[in-house]
Amino acid sequence: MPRPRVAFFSFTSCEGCQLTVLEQETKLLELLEVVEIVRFREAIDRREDRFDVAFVEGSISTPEEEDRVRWIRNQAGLVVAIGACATLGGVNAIREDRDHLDVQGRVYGEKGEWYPAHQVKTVAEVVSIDFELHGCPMAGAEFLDLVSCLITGRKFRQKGTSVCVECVLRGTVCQLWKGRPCLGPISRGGCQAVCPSQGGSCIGCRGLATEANLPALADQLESEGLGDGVTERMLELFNRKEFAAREGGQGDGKGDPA
Amino acid sequence: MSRRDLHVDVHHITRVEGHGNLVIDVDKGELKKCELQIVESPRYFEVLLEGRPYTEVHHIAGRICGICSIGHTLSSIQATERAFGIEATEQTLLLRRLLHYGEMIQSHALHAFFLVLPDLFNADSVIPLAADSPDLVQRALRIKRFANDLCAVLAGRHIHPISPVVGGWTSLPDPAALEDLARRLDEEIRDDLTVAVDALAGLPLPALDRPTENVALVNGDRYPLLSGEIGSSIDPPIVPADYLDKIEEKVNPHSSAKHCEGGHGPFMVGALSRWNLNGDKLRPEALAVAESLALPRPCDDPYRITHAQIVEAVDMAYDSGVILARILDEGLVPETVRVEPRAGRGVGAVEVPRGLLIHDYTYGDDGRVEKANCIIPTGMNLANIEADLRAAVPRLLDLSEKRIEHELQMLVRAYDPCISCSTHLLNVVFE
Repeated sequence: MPRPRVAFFSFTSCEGCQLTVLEQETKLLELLEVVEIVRFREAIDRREDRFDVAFVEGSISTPEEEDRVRWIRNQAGLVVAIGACATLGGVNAIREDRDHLDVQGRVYGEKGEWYPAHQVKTVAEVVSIDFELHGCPMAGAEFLDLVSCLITGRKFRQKGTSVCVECVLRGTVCQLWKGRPCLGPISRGGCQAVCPSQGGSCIGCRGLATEANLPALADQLESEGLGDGVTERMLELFNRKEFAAREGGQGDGKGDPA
Repeated sequence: MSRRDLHVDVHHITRVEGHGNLVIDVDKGELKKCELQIVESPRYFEVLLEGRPYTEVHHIAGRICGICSIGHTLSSIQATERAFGIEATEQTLLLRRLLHYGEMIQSHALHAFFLVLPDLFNADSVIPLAADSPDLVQRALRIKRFANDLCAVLAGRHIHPISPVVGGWTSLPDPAALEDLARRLDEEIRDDLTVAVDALAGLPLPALDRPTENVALVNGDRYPLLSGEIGSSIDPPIVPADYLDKIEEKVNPHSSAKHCEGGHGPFMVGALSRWNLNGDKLRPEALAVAESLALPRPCDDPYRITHAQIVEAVDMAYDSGVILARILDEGLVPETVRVEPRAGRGVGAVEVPRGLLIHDYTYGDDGRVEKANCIIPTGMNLANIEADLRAAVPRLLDLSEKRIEHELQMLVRAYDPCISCSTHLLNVVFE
């Protein structure tokens, strides 16, 4: 069987998800035995125009990027959105409600018009996608699992349950018990609760869990004196778009891949 | 000099972080246009930081860049601590230094062995090298793996670290994991570095001699990385908070990253500048490597940045061993530092893999950012890279077009530019 031809592309992002691929050091050489990397600007010169699988990192935040991602969709068999910028808008979308002229002027002064700010979009808002890998950055183990599924035909399943479930499984002391605000109860798991396990709060980089009950968490945090609106404020970090959609009662429309 | 015409248009330089184009126009031997165009989409980070509470600021700031997220996180935390008047404890500073070593070693190894080495073997990537020189590639991977693991043990992961926060750490590393790192350093990594250095020492680099101003942190700790004043090869040092007296940012039509100039035109930051200003403070093992790579000091050749990075990586690997031994011997104690927000400005200045990085925040008394500014190493280097390109082109005109393009790409790549970072520049105007 020929190896699938795989390409990597990055849009508005920190390129940390592509770097996550390069950081699979011990698996990298094995990976190269099962896939053929035909485009990966950060690491190789080769640049081909047809590929079976395109991994797309980053938000789509300019008209040029929209054109480029449409071209990628056209050339690719499967399109996989990788990381929070691509799947949720991520930190790029924190500025979602700011006036675009104000945003560009704040950064580039009177030359702001040279760098016009546009609406930040997820990959799925511009083209159809086949899979999403969540997280900021995406989890290396999930990336390898998806590659393995694509090669073997096994069905790729993702967690729809919350980060809380993984904290319990790991025996991690609950952040809420320690009196710290945490988005674990409403955030999609699959990260092995890596932030709470390091003593940090979940900041929701993988999006909302299937059964997320926002009002319940907001009420609990407020009743424990952790601040009015702290849930909403924390959700702004990665989930501004999805949160706004739920507030508007539209849902995210994507459903759960599992 | 050749009277030829030349047009180079490299759309998206490969093996660099982010999107940059190289455009060179030569008309009858005369250089008409020489631009490193930065076409990465702007991300407007200062707007993202405005209004955010200090507990979130380093999480957002770290996401400016995946490769140097620890450097951004530490610079961000330093800026906030200085704004609030917080003194980090000795243990916190020691652990931050060790964490920083992990990122520096990982980033330098990525650049030297995965982005630059293919050029020296005339390969298009590290993939063919893995077949031709499996031992070297395996060792390089092991060095990178070690550095990543060091970050993961201390901070939960390398890309977007979790446990370093304003005031200290949310968790302390597991002693057994530290012991394992110390063992791997002793048993494998030192040998791996020796073999990798020997391989690099035998591979000639192109050469360019163009003296420029070097800027890096000076004074402070042993080899200044996380403290000190902003030093220069020309001017006396200044305190970090006065950086705007030294560094002028300019908006440039062909670049979404701002260019920087000092008082003497373009200047250089990064491993070679650190080597030039502070090389005498390195460990003897690192100085021996500099000798085997025949790296002079001072050195005015930007192609040698890669060698300076390797010298630093060796220094940091050996110093990691010293810090690990000390921690394992003395143990770590949980510490609580009270963080009380107050209104004011704080400037963080740290040396990250590609050079000096500045985060400058003004907080309100509610602990939320009112104003933010970041000066990124690649942004500081862009004007200097273009000056190098202008100096290099006339000397290359007798070569084939393909060779010229190759050498100029190598010159850009030598700086290890981080283009995603450099387009996340923040606002220029300070009242």
